[in-house]
Amino acid sequence: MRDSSAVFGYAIDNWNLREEWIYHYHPSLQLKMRNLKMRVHTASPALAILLLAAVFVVQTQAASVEPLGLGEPGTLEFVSIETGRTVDGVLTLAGRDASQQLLISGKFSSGQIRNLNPIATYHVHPAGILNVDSTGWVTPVTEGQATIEAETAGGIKASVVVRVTDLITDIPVNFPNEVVPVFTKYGCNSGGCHGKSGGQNGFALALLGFEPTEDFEHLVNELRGRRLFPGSPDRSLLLLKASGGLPHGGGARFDMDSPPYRMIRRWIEQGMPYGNEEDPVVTHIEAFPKERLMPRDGKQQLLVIAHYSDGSTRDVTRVTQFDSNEEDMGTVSQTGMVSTGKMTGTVAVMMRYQSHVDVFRGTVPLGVKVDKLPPSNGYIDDLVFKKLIELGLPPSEASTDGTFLRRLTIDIAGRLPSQQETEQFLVDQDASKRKRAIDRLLASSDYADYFANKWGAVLRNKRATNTRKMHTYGFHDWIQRSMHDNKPYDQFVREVITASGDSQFNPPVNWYNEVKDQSAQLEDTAQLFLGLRIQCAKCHHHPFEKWSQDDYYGFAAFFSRVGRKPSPTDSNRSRIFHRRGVASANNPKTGKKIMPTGLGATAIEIPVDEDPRQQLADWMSRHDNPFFARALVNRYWKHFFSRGLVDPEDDMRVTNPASNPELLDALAADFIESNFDLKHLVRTIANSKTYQLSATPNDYNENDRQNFSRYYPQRLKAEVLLDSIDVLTATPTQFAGLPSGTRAVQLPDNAFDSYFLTVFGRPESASACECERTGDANLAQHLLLLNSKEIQAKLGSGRSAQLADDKRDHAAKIRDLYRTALSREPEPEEIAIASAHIDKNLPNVKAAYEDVIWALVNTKEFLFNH
Amino acid sequence: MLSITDNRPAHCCAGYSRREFLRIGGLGAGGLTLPDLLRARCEASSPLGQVVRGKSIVLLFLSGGPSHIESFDPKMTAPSEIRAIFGEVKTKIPGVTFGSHFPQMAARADRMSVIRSYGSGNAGHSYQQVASGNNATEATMGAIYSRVAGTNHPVNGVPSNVLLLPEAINPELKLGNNFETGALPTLTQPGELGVNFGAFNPQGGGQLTSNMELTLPRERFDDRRKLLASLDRFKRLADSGGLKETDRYQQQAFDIITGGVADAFDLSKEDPRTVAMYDTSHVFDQQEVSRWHDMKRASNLLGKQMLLARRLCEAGCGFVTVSDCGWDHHSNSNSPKGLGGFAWLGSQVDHAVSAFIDDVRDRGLENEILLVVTGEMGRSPRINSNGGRDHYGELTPLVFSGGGLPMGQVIGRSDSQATRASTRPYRPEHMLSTIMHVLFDVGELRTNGGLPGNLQKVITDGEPIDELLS
Repeated sequence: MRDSSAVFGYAIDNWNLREEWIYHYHPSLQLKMRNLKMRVHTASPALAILLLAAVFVVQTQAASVEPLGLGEPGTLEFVSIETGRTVDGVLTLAGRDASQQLLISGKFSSGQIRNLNPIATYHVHPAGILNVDSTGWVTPVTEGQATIEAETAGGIKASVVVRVTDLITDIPVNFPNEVVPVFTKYGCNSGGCHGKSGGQNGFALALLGFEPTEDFEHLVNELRGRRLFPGSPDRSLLLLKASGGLPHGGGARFDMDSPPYRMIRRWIEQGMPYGNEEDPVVTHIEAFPKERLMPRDGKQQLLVIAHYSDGSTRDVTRVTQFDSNEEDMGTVSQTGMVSTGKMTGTVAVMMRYQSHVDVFRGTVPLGVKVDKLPPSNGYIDDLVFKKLIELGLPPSEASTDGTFLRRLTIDIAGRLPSQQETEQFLVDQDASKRKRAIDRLLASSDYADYFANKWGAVLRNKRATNTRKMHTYGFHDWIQRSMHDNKPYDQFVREVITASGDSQFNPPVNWYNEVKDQSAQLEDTAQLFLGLRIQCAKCHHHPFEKWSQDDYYGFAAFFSRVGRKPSPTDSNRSRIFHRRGVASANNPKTGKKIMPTGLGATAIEIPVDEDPRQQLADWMSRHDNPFFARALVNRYWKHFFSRGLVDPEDDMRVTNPASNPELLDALAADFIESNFDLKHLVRTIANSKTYQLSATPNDYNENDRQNFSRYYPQRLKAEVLLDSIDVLTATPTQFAGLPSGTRAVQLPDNAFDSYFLTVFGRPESASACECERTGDANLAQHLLLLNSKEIQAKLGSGRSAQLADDKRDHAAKIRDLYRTALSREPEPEEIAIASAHIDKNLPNVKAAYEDVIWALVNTKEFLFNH
Repeated sequence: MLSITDNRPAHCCAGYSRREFLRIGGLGAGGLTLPDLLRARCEASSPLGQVVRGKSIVLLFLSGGPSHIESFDPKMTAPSEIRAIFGEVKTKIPGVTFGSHFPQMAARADRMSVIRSYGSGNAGHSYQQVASGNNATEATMGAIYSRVAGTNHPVNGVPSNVLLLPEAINPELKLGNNFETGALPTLTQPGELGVNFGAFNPQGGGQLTSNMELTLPRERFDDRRKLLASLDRFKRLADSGGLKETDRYQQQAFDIITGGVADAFDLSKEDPRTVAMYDTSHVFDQQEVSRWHDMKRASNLLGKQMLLARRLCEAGCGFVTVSDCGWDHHSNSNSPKGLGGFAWLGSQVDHAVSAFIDDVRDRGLENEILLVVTGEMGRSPRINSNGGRDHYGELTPLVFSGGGLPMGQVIGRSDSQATRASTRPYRPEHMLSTIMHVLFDVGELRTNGGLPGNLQKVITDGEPIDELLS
C-alpha cells in the first residue's frame, strides 16, 4: 500500500498517453482494464469508484469499434453431417464399443463455414436403436437401422442413416488397437507416471503405448495376474484404481461405466485376448476438419478417424489425445472441442492415437481491412501478405533508411554500419539503393565471417586443448571460405558428413573429432541438416512423430562404417576412413539388422567398397528430399526474423507445423531451384518488403508473434555487441594470440576467454543446437553494461578523449555518435539533452562524453537489432 | 502446451497467468510470499519456466568428509574400534539412534529421511563430483538449476544460485588457508554451462560481485541514469525478442547497484529472537578451532548461514549451497585427537539444522524447501591410531528434510562393520536425480526442447532414490 498513489498516478498517465489507441484495440484494452482494476485495489475507495466509472465508459466505447474478427456469418443456408466414414449415405457402427462423433457444419450466406455442434439438437427414428448425446456423440443400443436428424438454428436440418451391427455376436477386443490407446488418452503411460522408466509404484507401462506386448505382459502375467480378475471384472485392480474405487496416486482417471471402463471390462470378461496377428492394424489417422477459419471465442468440434490395414475405418475421437500448441490462442477439450480465445493467429491442435498423429489448424482473423500493403517484391511478400489479408492483420510501415541499413548490416555482416556507410546511404537518392546495399554486403568478407561464426558453433568447432588450435582454426577457415565462395549448400554438407582423412589436410574431418560416436553423428546430422530431433527414437518410438526405433537405426547404419585411427602427428585426434564392409545397424529391442535407410525412405544395400556416407549425402541433396532444403531455409529465416516459420528451427515435425506452410514450401523450392545457393536465399529474404517492415507496431499487430506483420527486434548477439561497443568507444578488444584488429565475430573458435561474451550468451559449441546461444537478458549483462570496470575502461579512453579534444561544436560531435551507434541523425531534442549534460559538466568535457556514450550503449535502441 | 505428462497440475504454473505475473511485477515484490515468488518464476520469459516446480533447495555441504558413524549411523553393536566414539542418542523413531552429538536432530527424526546406504564413491576431497552428481557436463546442481530457471528471479532479481560461506555473515572474518581454500570454487562450479550459471557468492569476489558495487561516485551514476532515461526512446516498441526483459533486468541492476537486493542478504532485518534461535557462536570458540590446520576454514557461524539461506529462499532463491568447512578429522597433528573436531562441528550442525527445520515448518515452508545435508565422503570405519578416522567413500552421511518428500524414514542399511551398504547402494547420481525431480517436472522437461541435449539428459536420465520418489 505504501506507494499506491504513485502507482495510481502512473496508471492515469499511461491512460492519457494511450487513450487514442485504446479505442482501437480491444485485446490490449482487456489487458489495460485488468491492470487498471488491479490498481484500483490499491487506491482509495473514492478514487476507485471514479476510476471504475471511467473504465466502464471506455470499455463500452471500445467495444463498438472492436475489429471485426471473422465477421458476421450471414444467414445459414445449408447444414451437413460429417462422420468421415459414411459409405453410400449409411454409417455403420459395428460392435458394442463402436461410437461415432458427428460433425455438424453450417454454410452461411457470407461463405463462412461454422461448426454447429454446440447448438444442434438430435432426433432419432426409430428410437431405441442408438443414443445421441448433446455433443453429437453416437453410441449403439441394439442392432438395427435408424436415421439421425440434426436440427440447428431456424429449423434447418440434416440427417444421416446409421446401421448398428455386431452387438449380438461379440467381437473380441483387440488389446493393442483398443485397450492401449486408453492408457495414452488418460495419461496412464505418460512420462510422469507408469510410462516412465521403471514405472510407478511397481506398475510399468511402455511410454505412450508404443510396446503393446510389454504392456500385455505387465498387466496380464506380472504379479501372478492379480491386476485383472476375469471372474469378476469389476473387481480387477486395474479398473478399481483407474476409476477411483481404490486409492490411486494418479486419482480417478475415468468413471465407472464410462466408455473406456466398459471396453476394458469387456476385454477382461472375454479372458483378456491379445488379438491375432492377422487382426488389422491402424495405418493412419485422419482429422476432420483439417483447417478452419474461426471467430474469436469460437468453437470447433474435431473428429478423428482411424484407417485400418484391411480398409476398414473407425471413429477414435474419444480415445484420441488432443494437445494445443498455443494455449493462449486456443484450448482443446478431452472430447476434441477446440475453443479459441481473443488472440489473432493460428492454433495447431495435435492429435495422437497409438503411434499416429495428425493436426488441425484453426485460424482466428483480426478482421481489419488490410488496404495499405507495400508493393510486393516476390513470393515471400505474396505469401506473407496473403496470410495477413486472411487474418485481417495490417502490417507495420516500411522501415526508415537508417533503421534498414543498420538491421541489414547486422544481419548479414554481423557489425554496425560505419559512419561513412550510413552517411552515404542516407543521402543516396537511387531507388535501388537497398538492393545494392544487400549485394555489397553479401560480397564482403564480413558476410563470410559472420556466417562462419554461426556455422562454427553448430558444427561444434570446439577447441578442447590448445594442441587442437591448428585444427579448429583450419576448420573455421574452411567454413569461412565456403561461405565466401558461396559453395552450394549441398556440397558444403556433403564435405562435412563424408569427411575422411586427417583434419590437418581436410578440415571438415574436425567435425568427427568432436562428434565422436555413431549416435551423436546421426543425431547431429538429423538435427542440424534435416531439422529433425530423432533422439527419442533411440530408446522408444518418438512421442510426437512417426519415427520408430527402426527408423533411427536405419539412419544410424549410414555411419556404421566410419573408421577411426589415431593421427600419427597428434594422439588427441583421429583420422577418419571408410571401414570396408556391409553397412547396417541393429535395433537393440528387436535384434533386427537394419540396412541404411533415409528417414521416410526405403532401405538401400550398399556395396562393401562404397562409403555409405556418400549415399546419405546423395539422399539428403535429392531434390525431392522433404527435409533438407526446408530445414536450411527455416534456419536462415530465423536468422533474419528471429522466429522460424517452424520454431524451434531444428524441431520440424508434423505436430509442430509451420506458421505459414506455403511460404516454407516456396522458400525450399526456390532454394533447390537455385542449386542450394545460400547467397541467393539471403538476397531473396533481405529484398522482401516483409523483412524491411518497421519493428514499431501499429494499432493492431503488437501481439503478433508468428505472422511477421512487423520486424521482431532481437538483442545483438554477444560477439556483435562487443564489436559494436568497441567501435562506438573506439577501443578495440585485443584477443590473445590474434592480430590486433581481429573482431569478436571473426574469432576462429570459442576458446577465447571473455567474461563479456560468456555473459551475453556465446555458445560453447558443445551441441548441434542453436539454442546453445542464448539471447535472453539477465542481470549479469546489465550489471556489466551499467557498472563494470571493463566498460568504464572503454568509456574512459578512445572516443571520449577524441571528442574532448575535437574543436567542433557539440551538436556535430553528438551527430557523429548517433550515426555510429544508431545509424541515424539525432532528433533536435536529443542533441539538446546531450548538450545540456555536457554543459552541466563543464569543464570536464571528457567525463561528460563518457556519460553520453554510456547512455547510448545502454539504450535498447543500441542493444537491439530492430 | 504440448505435454506427454498427464493432466494433473503437476507443475507449479497451473492457474497462474502471465497477467497475474505482470501484476506482481507491477506491485513490487514486497508483499509476496515464497510460494507466490516461486510460482512467479514459472512465468519467467522462457518456456523452460514451465518445468520449474517452484521449490527451493538448501544444500548444507560439510566439507572435509564428515564421519557417517558418529553422525547418523552409530553402529553401537560393532566392536569398539568401529562403533561411534561418543555413543548414541535415541531418536523419535523407535529403534533408530543417531550419534550422541545430535540430540536435537534426533528429536526431529520424524521430519527427516536419513540415507544409510549412501556413499560418494570417492575417498578424496572431491566436492565437484558430489555436487554435480558425477554428471558429464561437470555442472553442479545449483548451476543446472540456474540454467533452467534463469539466473535471477524474474520478479525481484534475487540470484537463483547462491553460495553462502561464513564470510557472507561476517565479511571481516579472516579464515586461514588450507586445502579447502583452493577446493571451494569446485563446490558450485558451472562446468560446461558457463560462468553465467555459477553461484552468486555475496562475498566471494569475481566480476559479477564487483559489478554490483558502485564504481562511480553516486551522484554521477544517478546523473547517468537520468541521462539514459531521457535518451531511451524505445518505450513503445512491442515486447518481443526480450525488450521488456531487458528493461526489467536493467531496472534490477540499477536497484542492486544502488542497494536493493542487499536486503535479502541482510540479517539485521530479521527478528532478533529468530537470529538468537539460529545462532551457533556459543557452540565453540572460533580461535580454539582455527589453531588446527585442517580446521582453518571452520567457523561457528553456521547457524546464521542457515538463517541467511532460509531468508534467501523466502526471497525466491531456488538453490542455496551452504558451505561448512573443517570436517577432515584424521586427528593427526592437524586436528584434535579422538575426533575432537567432530564434537565441535557436530554440535553446531545439530543446533543449526534443528533451528532451520523448526523455523521452516513454523513459516509453512516445510514442503517448499528441501534441506540436503551431506559431504564429499565419509570416514574409515576403523578408528586410526590417533583416535581419528581417515578418508572413506563407500559410506557418507546424507540427510533430507522437507521439500514435500516422505519423511521419518531410515533408507537403506550399512553392514555390521559400517563398511558398505548392505541394501542397494546409493551414489551422488541418485542424489542428483532426486533433487532434479524435486526442482523440475522431469517428464515435461524431456519434451520441452529448450535445453541442449547433453544437459537435458543429465536431468532426465538419472534414477532417483526410490524411497523418496515413487
